[in-house]
Amino acid sequence: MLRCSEFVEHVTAVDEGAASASLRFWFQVHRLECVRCRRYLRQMRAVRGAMSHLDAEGQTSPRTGHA
Amino acid sequence: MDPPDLVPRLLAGDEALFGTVVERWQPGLLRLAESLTGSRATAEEVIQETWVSVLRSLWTFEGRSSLRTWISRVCVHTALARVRQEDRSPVAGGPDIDPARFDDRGAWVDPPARWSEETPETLAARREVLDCIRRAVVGLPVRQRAVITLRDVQGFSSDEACEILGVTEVHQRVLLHRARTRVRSECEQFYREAA
Repeated sequence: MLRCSEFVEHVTAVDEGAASASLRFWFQVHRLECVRCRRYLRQMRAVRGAMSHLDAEGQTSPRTGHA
Repeated sequence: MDPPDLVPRLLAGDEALFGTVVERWQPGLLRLAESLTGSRATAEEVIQETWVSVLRSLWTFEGRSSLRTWISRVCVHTALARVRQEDRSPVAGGPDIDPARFDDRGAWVDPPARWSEETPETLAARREVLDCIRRAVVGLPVRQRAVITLRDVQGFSSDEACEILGVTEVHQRVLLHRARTRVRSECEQFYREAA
């Protein structure tokens, strides 16, 4: 079993594919049953995804295609 | 990976090719250095120093990583040398989220509230949110800042980030976790104030 306070500590390990099989299992179980942690996870992933836009947008440097 | 003749041609003094390499990678390196040093002017000095170091030590490049990773490593080390004072802090243990937000059985008492945007695209479409994220990244301890910039802003892989920073995979992940947690918390604060 995983508590909410533990769930939030394991988000990165799970998303990075570094969690053990049992942690992955209990993480998914908790995710299914806890709407609050589900929201937390959604927000963590959304912020992470939004960060790639920091590189693309703005600043003063010219854009070049990334290989 | 790099074309096989890239480094030999650079070592042979192919100036046009060196110009292409600089043009292609300079913008990303500049953003990386700016994120690490927190200053555009310092970042520009770091980049100049980086290219000099690269030219001077290119012959030592063994091709175990891509050239871009190797040059990024030179850039990060040059930048970190400038902000060394805060750099030596060990990774402290302890929670990344205020423990008071959970009860003594580890359940939320102060759960995350809904945000009006909860996807990468909608978050990124709001300028104030992106500004908030940028400020949050700049406010991180420098090694966390380095990891999150490499991974989430610039899109380097975990292996590449470890190689660039000279840290273990576990250490890299701890730094990344703290950084991501802090940046989310700053966004949470933003939405609380906006509500």
